[in-house]
Amino acid sequence: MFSDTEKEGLKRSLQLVVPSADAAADMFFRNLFELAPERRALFPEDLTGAKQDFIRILAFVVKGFTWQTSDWKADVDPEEDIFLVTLALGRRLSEQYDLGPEFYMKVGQALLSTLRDGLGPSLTPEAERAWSSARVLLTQTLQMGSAAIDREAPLRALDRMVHLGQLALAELEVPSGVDSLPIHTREGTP
Amino acid sequence: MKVGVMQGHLREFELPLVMEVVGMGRQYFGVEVRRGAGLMGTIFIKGDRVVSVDAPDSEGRDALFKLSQLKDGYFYVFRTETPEDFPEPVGALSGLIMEVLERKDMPPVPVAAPTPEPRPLAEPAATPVPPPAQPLRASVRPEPPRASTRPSNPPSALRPEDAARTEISGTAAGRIVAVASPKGGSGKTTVSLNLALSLARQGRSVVLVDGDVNGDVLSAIDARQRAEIGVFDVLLGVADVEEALLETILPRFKILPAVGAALPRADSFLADHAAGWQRLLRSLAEETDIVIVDTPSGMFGVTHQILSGSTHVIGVLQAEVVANRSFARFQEGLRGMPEEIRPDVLGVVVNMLQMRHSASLSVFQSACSDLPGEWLFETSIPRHRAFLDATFQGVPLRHMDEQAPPAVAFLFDNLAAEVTERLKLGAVERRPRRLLI
Repeated sequence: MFSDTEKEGLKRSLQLVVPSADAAADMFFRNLFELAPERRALFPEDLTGAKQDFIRILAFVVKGFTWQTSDWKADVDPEEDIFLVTLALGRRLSEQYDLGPEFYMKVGQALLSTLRDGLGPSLTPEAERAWSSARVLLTQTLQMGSAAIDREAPLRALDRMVHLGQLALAELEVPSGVDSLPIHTREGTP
Repeated sequence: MKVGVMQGHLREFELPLVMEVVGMGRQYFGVEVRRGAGLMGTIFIKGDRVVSVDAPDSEGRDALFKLSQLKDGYFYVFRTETPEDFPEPVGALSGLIMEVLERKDMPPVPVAAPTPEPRPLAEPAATPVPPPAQPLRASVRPEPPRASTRPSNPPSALRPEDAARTEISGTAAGRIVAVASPKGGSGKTTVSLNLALSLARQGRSVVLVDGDVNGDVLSAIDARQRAEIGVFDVLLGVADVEEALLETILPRFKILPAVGAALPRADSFLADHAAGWQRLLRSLAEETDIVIVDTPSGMFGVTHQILSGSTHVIGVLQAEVVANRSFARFQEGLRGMPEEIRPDVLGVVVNMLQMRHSASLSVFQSACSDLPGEWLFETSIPRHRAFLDATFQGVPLRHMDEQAPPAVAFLFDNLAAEVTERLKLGAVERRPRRLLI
């Protein structure tokens, strides 16, 4: 699905984002609400929780896409499976909030803009390509959520993403020196 | 034990797309392909590997390729217990999907009739089912050098064979052609202006609508001060479209500028004017042969709204590496639109081509190989200093010297001819003139 270089790019870019997670989340939501102002009302006024979820979901996604190819036979809990969880989330977003492909595209666009603008040249072409591919796959899967038939999974999907993302963050090794790399914002560095 | 995961119609989500997203998962998944009540075959996938494929009259790769050609039918994805001993996998899912797509131009292989349930896998089918009308077509190029595929089976409006649809949609709702590109500076305004002019010179009635506030058409022809009312004033309901249309020296060619004397409030650009665009463009198309709409860069926001009111879209691919990388957004943006409002892809024109520059040439070559053949226009537009001169003089290329316009101006005549042919517009009557007196 992803080459080793692309997997490495995904991991590395997450490692770069984590030390400035708050600024990255700020930038992401600003981008998102510029693209989809009509969806601002879906989120609480205070975005603190949503921002924390953002970085955890990012960690969940990276972990879900970067397993070793040689481990393909390994058993994985269905609730840790990025396909099943994303599919269930798509169903929930469709049924509860009437969200569809247009919104998912905007979320993906906001994420890519955040990574491009925030990491600048530290986002390698391989990493950018990997994020772009991941975005397409996730968008397609969310869209297919309307075809999902597990009725209970959607209720758990987001919680699982956030919880497992928290664990993934705890496992993440941030290389030394990374914390000196700022996320660039439009107003300057945080 | 089977646990159902999802199901749907292959017309909505084609099989390679289903396999690709299933391949993200780590479970042992089965993808059943059904037609009516009958089972056509099952593909077992685990962790980006196709473990096995069973069909009534074939197995392995052959079965996979046959199943992948099915366009009508249903899929049912389930997860089940991982077997203790895996057979030797058929192959990596990513590579197999690529192979499926590469076979897109091959004639469809007859697919065996479904077997009744419970299925006797080894039993050959008694009656071959007629093959699907067309082989599956990949309209979205894979993003090299990634091993996996990009969205490989986009909705129908993205398929090149749907060029045939232009006749229907063009006739029914007029021809409203948006000119779009994900990247700024790729030449959308230049293409829109010169293409519209060439179409008008064919004798057709043309309205050029400027949807790009920042890189507006009137600035390109140094006529910004001429606009009193812009299209956003019309969308906001503060002016009529007739007031906004500017006449040109060609009697059947009009321009609807983006903005008038005063810019509308900034927040008006953020509002969703999709319905307004749809109404406006439809009303213009009722009295015009072709409406050309220059869009802002990107595929979202205002561009998305304009596309929702357009019957067709022309993609402008700047022959430059970064533009090429971002051109996937063109397909993605279209794919994200609901099918009922998504315009047909009329074609893609390569712009600013530099044949002596290897990077530029490589973009052209990749467009030739990766874009569906029917998408790419025969005409490409080179990078040429005449464009700078024309902008400096504030005129379209053709009007730099009407008696002896720069040669590149004629390329837009070629492009216009391709556009009218693809739109199935009738040929303009020609009046040959003999040379000798």
